[in-house]
Amino acid sequence: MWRDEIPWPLVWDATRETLIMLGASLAFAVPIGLVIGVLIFLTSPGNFWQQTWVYRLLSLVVNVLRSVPFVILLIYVMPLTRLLVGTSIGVEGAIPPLVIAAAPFFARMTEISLREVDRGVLEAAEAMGTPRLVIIWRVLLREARGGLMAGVTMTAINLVSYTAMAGVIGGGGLGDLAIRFGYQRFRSDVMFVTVVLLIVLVQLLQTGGDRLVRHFSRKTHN
Amino acid sequence: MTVIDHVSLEVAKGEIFGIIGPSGAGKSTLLRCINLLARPDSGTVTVAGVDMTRLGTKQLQEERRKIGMIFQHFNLLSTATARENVAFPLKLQKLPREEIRRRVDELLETVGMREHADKYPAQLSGGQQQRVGIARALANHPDVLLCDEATSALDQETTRSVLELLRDINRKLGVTILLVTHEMDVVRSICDRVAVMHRGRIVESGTTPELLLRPRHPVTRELVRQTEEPDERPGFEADAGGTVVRIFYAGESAGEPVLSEAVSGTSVRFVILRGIVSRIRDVPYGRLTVRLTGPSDEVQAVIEKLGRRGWEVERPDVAG
Repeated sequence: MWRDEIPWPLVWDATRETLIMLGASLAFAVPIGLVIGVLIFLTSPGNFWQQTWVYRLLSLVVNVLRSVPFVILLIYVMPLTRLLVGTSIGVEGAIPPLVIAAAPFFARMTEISLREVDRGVLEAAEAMGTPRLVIIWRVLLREARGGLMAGVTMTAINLVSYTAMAGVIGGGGLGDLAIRFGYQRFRSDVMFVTVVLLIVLVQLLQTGGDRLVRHFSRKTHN
Repeated sequence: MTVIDHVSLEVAKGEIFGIIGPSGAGKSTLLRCINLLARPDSGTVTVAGVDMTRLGTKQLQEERRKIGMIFQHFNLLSTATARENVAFPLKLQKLPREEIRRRVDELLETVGMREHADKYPAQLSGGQQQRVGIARALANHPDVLLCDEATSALDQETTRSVLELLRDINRKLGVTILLVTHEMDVVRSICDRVAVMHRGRIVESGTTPELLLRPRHPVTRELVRQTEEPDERPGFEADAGGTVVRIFYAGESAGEPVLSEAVSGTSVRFVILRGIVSRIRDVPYGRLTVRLTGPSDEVQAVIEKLGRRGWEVERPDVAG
């Protein structure tokens, strides 16, 4: 089986590509998803800016985007990708579809964590004469930040598995390396190394995320 | 859906006013109409001369800052310390840091939470959390403090200490307190006046002694009965002969020997079978079940004498 040396430079390149795709898409997906999630929450029935139609529309868009398998989305949005970053291939070309896939996911995660916020606390803030934007920023998002961090963690881990498909458009990354070397060239040693690296990456994301969740929730029982 | 209807209520400056009623009566909604967390479809709400229902968003926010509110579940920011929670309304006013710090210390001192300033709500007991809630509500020197079932989640002892704190605040700072509760004990211990709500309407209101001593509406009677529970089951007294009467009195005559004066000079003797002698706010009162023995014309005369002193006498066995 171990016919050749493992091509370490390729492995490191692939790792770097995965990290770039992960970092860049997360950097866009989180703020976009946060805004959409907050809007979905606030326009939902019984809330601050109850707007049933806006709520339904946003909710529908999020559901549609989340239903499309990522491989298909990757190809579907190519024209848009070209418009946004000038190319539809490579690491750059992979980022817009990754954002389009991850933002709706994070939007839902945001909505869920905002729902978890005790409504009584919002009411108390309102009773104190707090302007709504201040309530959203200093109460709603503040109280939800533990849940939001958990959402970021889950989104990042999802993105790791999405990046594996970026190879389809020449985006590279660890998943692509595993397919090209491990599967197509029967290099199970390379496959093994990439899988281990992906596991380590996911583990690091999860542990780091958990730590942030704990830090931000601050609901310590002594 | 109509939750409250035809409610007219006036609360005087500096008093502690209670709104009591069974759950679902609309008490909390009525309270929320005062700072317009619930907006009435019709009618007006005037706080310190300002018609709240006519205010725009900005002005309403300004007015709300002068109305403190505390809640059954305290509603503190779970991600903020006691100090940060109390500082929240002050930061809205954009006060200088130093002044906020000073005021927060002062408020935490008032509610006896100075040493817990840097703890998070989850590290505090219910009573301590409510104290922080009270400090937060008082931050902007409110004229009015709204209390929504503020002691309902607390045990008896903690309830007593929180009520004492509220009474202190009312006396020392002159804050008008409006409180909603389903517990007659809360009303009995601190309210000057009280209104009873039932199905979205106020069915009875008056000063606390008036209402507790002479409840007229069935809902009020039920609420009063729950706290002051004389054993109503027929017992030994019925078979022992004589005339069993229930006596009720309140006010100054409670300190006078009315009963022994009434029997003196007659051959009537009395036994107190059961009773309660207490005071509500500053009014002493008593409810006694008494057996009178003697010739029936003399017993009748005793009962009339008691009546002339303003004591109410019921004769359950003959009144029928």
